[in-house]
Amino acid sequence: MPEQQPLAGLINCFPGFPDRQRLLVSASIAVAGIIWLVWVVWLFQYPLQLSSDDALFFSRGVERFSVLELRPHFPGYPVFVALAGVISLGFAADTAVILTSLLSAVVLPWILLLLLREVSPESYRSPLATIVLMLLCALQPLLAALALSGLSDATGLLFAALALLLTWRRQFLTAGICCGLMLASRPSYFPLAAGLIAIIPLLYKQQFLSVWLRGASGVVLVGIPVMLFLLSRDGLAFFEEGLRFTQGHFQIWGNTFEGQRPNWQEWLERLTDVYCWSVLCLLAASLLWGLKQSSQRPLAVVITLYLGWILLAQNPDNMRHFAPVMLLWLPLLVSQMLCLSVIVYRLSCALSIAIGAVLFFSQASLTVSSAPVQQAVQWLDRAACTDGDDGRTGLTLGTNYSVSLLREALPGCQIFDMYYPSSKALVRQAGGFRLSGSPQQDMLLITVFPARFPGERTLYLYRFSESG
Amino acid sequence: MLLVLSLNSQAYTYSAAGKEPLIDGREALLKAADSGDFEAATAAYEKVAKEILYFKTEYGIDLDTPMKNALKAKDAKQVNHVLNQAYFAEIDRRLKGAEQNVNDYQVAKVLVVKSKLFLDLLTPQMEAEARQQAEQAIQIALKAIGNPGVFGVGAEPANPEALANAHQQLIKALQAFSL
Repeated sequence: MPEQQPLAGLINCFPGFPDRQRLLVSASIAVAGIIWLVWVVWLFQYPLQLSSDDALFFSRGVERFSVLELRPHFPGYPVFVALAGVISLGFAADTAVILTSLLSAVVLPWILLLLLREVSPESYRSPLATIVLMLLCALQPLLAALALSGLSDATGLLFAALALLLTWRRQFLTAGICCGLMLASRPSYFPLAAGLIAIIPLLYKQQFLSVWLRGASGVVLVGIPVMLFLLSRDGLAFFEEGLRFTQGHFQIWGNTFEGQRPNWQEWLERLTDVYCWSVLCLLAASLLWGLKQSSQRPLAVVITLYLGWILLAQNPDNMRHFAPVMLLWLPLLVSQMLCLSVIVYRLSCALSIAIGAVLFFSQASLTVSSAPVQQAVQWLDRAACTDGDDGRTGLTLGTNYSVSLLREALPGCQIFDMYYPSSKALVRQAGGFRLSGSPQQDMLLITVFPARFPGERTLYLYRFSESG
Repeated sequence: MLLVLSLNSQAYTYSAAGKEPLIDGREALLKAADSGDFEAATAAYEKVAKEILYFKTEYGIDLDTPMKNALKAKDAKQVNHVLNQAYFAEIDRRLKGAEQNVNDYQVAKVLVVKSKLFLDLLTPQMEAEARQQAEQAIQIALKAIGNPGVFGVGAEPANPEALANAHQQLIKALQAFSL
């Protein structure tokens, strides 16, 4: 296959295409562009506000980087912070981290389109495929959640998709660099890197050793400066913090491996809540079909490996871990639909868009609102102004969600961390509020701050009584 | 390998298991005292008594007697107050240590970072103005440690004067918990 420039691949048709076909392909790209533009305008309607402690720590990392100070937390996500740092030249640090995730997310559908064309050259001949894939991307509330999160998921996924695309295009060194950038943006995507390593022998049978070497060189080219940067900020204490963090994650606060049921069962329950059984069955069938078909096998292997990893070891409370599965699956799904007869293909396109639309409107709405924690900040700020006899006295709040963000946003309030059981007594003595990420049984519910997308968490506000 | 092992999480600011007995012990002690079970509270205190007695033997700060009195009087608020005083002493001790080791980046930085773990348990109990002063002071202290750089590149020297001033500012902000 001839080497192509990334954007040229979108508009170049195979030689010999009739003019009408060429025109249709151009028109489909234009329609996809319009869909994309509407989607981007919709996303930019949302306030660019921090929505979690992790995003706050990223913004602090942009101001001064130190993993020991949780600016941001281990392992530092240096490439994401660096990109946000560049954007922060024109914006405040907190806006910059949101913009970084948002811009990464809005570029992603185009990379997936290019990937579709590599995985399934037939898609060049089907203008509908371009439109369907763009629509399916825009109808993913999970992608919107990633875009507005200010976290590194969207950036990591963008680099992962680029690495896959460049691997298909035989640009192995650049693919390795993208893989390195992915790992330095979002290290927990390492199963995607493992997937990339695994598919090289499938794609380039005899040459796989040299391909691996060139890819590994790219990863090293990113890895060395990243490690030197981390060491320059925190010295060898970086490793000490890594040990503390890793131990803490698995033994204390990470919620991983701690559920009463196996992790995969928790995931299944969570996924059926968000999606429905039919979508999950379709995903499973699609992956199985992909693993059997030699042309689709590489992408199916990458997705299946990552899916296996999250089912075993990722926290099902964080739906955003599922985003790589859902988004990388879309080009695979469209490429599989292209294998069907013309009528069935068109029907399946219509059906997939209908299912996507139903799921979108069941999981999200077009109404623009703030993130749940920002809704809570606004509510508590108003309450703090009126809570005491002498005007603004501040109030007492116990929370196990976004403790640092609430402390920063509400400096006049006493914010207790409910991770510590002793906080409950102190908040109750003050007759304070309790903000929780899950419904509580024995307290009076004051109000609810609803999640906007499946990747977010609805927050519940309760009030303690002196006696209770 | 550490990069590979690390995963994202929601609440990673806590000390790792067994690393800070005064923080781990506080929970059992306050939980028992709050529920009125002072037998369990006394048992919980005995597990951390060594840490409290350390202040007496090393610095002449007796927190053991007021704690035992509070437990005897079944006064949960006083138990919390004495614990807060212990945290105040712990923060002061670690920041002094950081000042003495200001030229050893790793030691100084870890001491200031760990003192912040204790501070984070005190700040919610403080008045707004004092809380903001304390948080500002600990940030200045963290910055004053500088950073080591690699082979001299990217190094930022420590600022002992700024660290000492931040220490004083923090102690002033924490007056409500002083002995």
